[in-house]
Amino acid sequence: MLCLVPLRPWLLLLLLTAHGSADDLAIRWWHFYGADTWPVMQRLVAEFETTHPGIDIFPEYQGSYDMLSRKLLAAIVAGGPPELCTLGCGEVMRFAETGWLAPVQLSSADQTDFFPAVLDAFTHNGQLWALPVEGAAYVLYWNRTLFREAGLPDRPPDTWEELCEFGRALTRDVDGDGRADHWGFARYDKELVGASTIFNLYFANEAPLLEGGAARIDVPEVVDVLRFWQSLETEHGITAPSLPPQAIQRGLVGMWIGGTFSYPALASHLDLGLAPIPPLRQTACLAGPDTVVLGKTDTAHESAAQEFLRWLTAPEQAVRLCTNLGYLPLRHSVLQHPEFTAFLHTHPAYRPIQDVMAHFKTKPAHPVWSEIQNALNTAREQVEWGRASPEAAAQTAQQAAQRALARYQQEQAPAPARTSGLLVVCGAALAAAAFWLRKNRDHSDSRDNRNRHEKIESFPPSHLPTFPPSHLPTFSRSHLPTFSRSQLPTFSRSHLPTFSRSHLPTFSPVCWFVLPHVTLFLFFTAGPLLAGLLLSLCRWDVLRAPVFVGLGNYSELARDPAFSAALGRTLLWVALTVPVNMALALGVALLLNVRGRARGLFRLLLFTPNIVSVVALGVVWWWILNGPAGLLNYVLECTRLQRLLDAAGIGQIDWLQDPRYALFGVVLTEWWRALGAFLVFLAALQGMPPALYESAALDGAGAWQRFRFITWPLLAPVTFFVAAALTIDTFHAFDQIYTLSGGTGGPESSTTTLSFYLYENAFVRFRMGYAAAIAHVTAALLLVLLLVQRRCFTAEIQP
Amino acid sequence: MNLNTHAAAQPRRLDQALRRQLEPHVPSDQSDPADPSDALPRPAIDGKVAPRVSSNAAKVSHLSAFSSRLFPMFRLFLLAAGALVALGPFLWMLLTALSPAEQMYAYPPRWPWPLQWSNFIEVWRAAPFGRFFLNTAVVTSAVVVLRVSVSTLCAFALARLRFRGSEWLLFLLLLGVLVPGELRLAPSFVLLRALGWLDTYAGLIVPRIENPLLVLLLRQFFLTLPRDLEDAARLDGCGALRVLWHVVVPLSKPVLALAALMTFQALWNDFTWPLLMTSSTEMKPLQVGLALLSDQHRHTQLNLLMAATVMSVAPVLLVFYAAQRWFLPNLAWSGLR
Repeated sequence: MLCLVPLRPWLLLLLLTAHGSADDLAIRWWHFYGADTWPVMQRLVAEFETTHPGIDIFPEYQGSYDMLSRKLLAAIVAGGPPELCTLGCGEVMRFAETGWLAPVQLSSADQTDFFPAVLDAFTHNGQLWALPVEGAAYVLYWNRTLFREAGLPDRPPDTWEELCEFGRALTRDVDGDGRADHWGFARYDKELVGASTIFNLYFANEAPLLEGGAARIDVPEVVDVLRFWQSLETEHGITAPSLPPQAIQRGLVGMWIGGTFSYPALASHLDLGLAPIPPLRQTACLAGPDTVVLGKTDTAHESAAQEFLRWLTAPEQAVRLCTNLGYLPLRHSVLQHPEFTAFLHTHPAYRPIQDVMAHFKTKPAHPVWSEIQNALNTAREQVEWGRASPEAAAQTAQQAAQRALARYQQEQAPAPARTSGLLVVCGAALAAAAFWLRKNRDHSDSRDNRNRHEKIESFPPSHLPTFPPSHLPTFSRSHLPTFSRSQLPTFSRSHLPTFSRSHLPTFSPVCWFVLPHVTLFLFFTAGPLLAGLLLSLCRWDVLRAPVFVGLGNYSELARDPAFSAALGRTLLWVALTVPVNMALALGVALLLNVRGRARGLFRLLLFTPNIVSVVALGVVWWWILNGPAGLLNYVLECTRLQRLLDAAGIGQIDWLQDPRYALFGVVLTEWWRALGAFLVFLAALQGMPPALYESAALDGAGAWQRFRFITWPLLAPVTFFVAAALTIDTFHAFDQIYTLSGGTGGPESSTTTLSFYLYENAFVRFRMGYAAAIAHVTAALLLVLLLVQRRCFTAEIQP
Repeated sequence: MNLNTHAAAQPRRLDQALRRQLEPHVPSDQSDPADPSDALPRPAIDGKVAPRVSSNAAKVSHLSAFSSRLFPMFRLFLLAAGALVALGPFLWMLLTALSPAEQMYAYPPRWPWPLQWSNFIEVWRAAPFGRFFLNTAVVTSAVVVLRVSVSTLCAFALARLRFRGSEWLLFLLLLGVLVPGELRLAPSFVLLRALGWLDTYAGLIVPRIENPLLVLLLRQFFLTLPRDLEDAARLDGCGALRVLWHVVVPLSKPVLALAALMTFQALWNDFTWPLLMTSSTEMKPLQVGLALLSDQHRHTQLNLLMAATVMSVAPVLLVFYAAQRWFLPNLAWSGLR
């Protein structure tokens, strides 16, 4: 009964869908409002449906910004974007160019009512491509409790000098271990995604960043900000490159720049104040409104969607979003709305928001902005960790941005088609296939023959894969007699005459065995792979038709420094992960295979790392690996291992945010997961013939010798399989890197392996052709690696 | 292989072994119900069942002091350390799931008290988790059954039945394994849309049935099975399907159970495919449903998220517990009771 209660509204909804959608206009709305935002939105939707009887809104949650934009991309490719889709402000322009969006029609009264900066960001070629629904701006948070404790006045700082001064008073070492545990200032408001804070300073310092389609990053305005950003730690000592997990929520930080949207959750247990960010050359406030775009459909649906959008952004509705969720008013009439003034009266902390409204800035709208932003983030990370001077970092970012812009312009121009590439590729593929087939035929023939003879001659065979030969006897007793008896009557005449060895292979239509899998395989793997192969010869940004460029993508790969860096990182990642994982899995399996106390319990306990999804683990591991107060560093401290590190001059390691160790941090989580990967080994060990061990023990073989000369050779085929599967898995590992790096592959691209680089190109930069080329190079590399592995293990199998 | 000849070299032990053989109820000092050799059928030689010579008895005599006394403790220590490391993050998850909201951010972290079991109820109400569970259960079980059976058929054909193009097929399957799955997503989406399978169970099940890696694993395993049994079965008039069902499948139970478990686990935790291929809340599986609890902007309520994660993990543990007797046949009955 308990489980039916939450089901009921959804069942009702299903019924309604089936019933009411016949003549009503169904409008799908993809959004990313989860947690406590959603109930408010849901109420608004329900209200709209009652006031507009002819229109049904179907809101569908699609995940975070990244997921939503990936999904929209896929929907556009497939030709069925939803009527409404929520997008972050940075994404709109990429989609606006495609022709898949319908422009938003807004009355001139509405247009003047919105703050100009908010609408300008989404206007392109005189059309408005998205309507901002809710927005947040960055403000300065200050923790009043900490201010009181530090004896500071009960007001926020007005200038950056004052902020640094306050910060010095707030940075304290409370527990007296010689390391600060309260900080004056945090450079991030949220772990994993903290990248936007510094943009407030860029805008406040009038940094141009992107002007007239050209990057302007290596300018004094940017360099000054970077230097100041660095000085917060090096000179003023009021922050650290990484703070403990959830330092802000735990009340360890005095001041930080954060989005207004965080306020309700934080204010529930902290005494906080909000203030405008102190000015540099000017006062600026980064606003990131989330927008809704209209997918192109038919007129009736489009106008219904427009209707809903206009209704949702109308002052009466917008003010409720502001008062219930702490979003910013995006239009003048909301600011003056009596409900909002009443809200400000009851929530005095929000009052400073009024002051920042006039200084709204949005990030430049450009299709490759996300790449430029990545370059800027890398520069910031380099400066934070002292790996480059501000000038050099800005220089590097400028070059990266220029490359991205140049490539974008080049891709706008039509490319000459080159057919020679296709021929070369097809020829090479055919040759490789023929070579492989030839080799494989020889191999499999000889193996089959050997299989037949040696099985009979020697039991147990020394080199053959004997996965569970122990089951052999079970079979012979229980199964053979039963069916031979039942078959006996029909056996006599009809089968005997036709039976001969040459007929054996063809005695049943093979297609029944292979067909189900092959059909599915052709449709869902081979088809996409073939498409991918063709795609890798094209330039395709998903939104327009592909352009054939021959081997252009591959030759670009050869010249791409980011690709070779990612390749090196992948090899390091595989080299660190695979052998240790194998050793751990085998070790655990061996320990569990020995009879002893509580084996079943341990098996269950050790299996747990395997069952939690990678996504959920990201959160957990963040707590363990992150920063000075992470659990791992705490354990190191307790076990005195930290002293070793200190003595080696390494000091405390930030396992996820320090670019030098970030990849290793991810490797640690993989090792942990490997503890639970003992299953295949254990199953194989269980199948080992005990007679061999007995005779070896009788002959005086020690534990190591028995392992080396019995277990290891017998296990070789299984080991090879595990090694191969693990290598493939590790090569393709993406989820863990994505989660632990907050979807950036950072810091400083230090966790960007090939699979992440592939993702970045496909879904962040929309370079599907290039991504496909990366995929195929990855596959080729993997093939080589597997062949090498096979060679190694074949040597082991046949000494 | 007759063990008697070897055992004869060890008179004292043989004596003990014989004593045990004659008096099966005499408890021996080293005997352990989990000894794999006990559960094994003893080889039949010349129609007689070989006398039972305990492997323990044979082993013990040659174990040094380290092996016999210290090793079990050392092993226990290693296992306990491993289990602690393995459980650490999991335990943290559980504790966070039971924390009251205001204690979540306590620093230094402390044991949550009182344990807030209501988090589970609250999170159950926050989203239609019953429906999510149902979706995941339906999809996962369907895929496990179909994937294992389809792959078994194909792997058996590749291992045992000669047919034209089998090498090509093998080569194709290998290619399918090598190329990153990310590449599959966009074309699959287009295909599913063309089929009208987006946001349906079919779209969640059918494309995920085939798995080249599993076929390769099973084929590799089938190749190692002795052929003579199959030949005998064929002589008795079995068709290929009957050979597969009556001979190969019973012999392969452990590997099939392993395959099923691995599939189950992968499917239960899969995130990307259902995220892309479903859009309505009614069709969402658990892992995507979990994402509902976090918002792009806001600080996620960690205790609720963890409570939901713990709930989502529980069935996998149960399945593992139930399945291990299949893929660890020798141990399952003795070790766990």
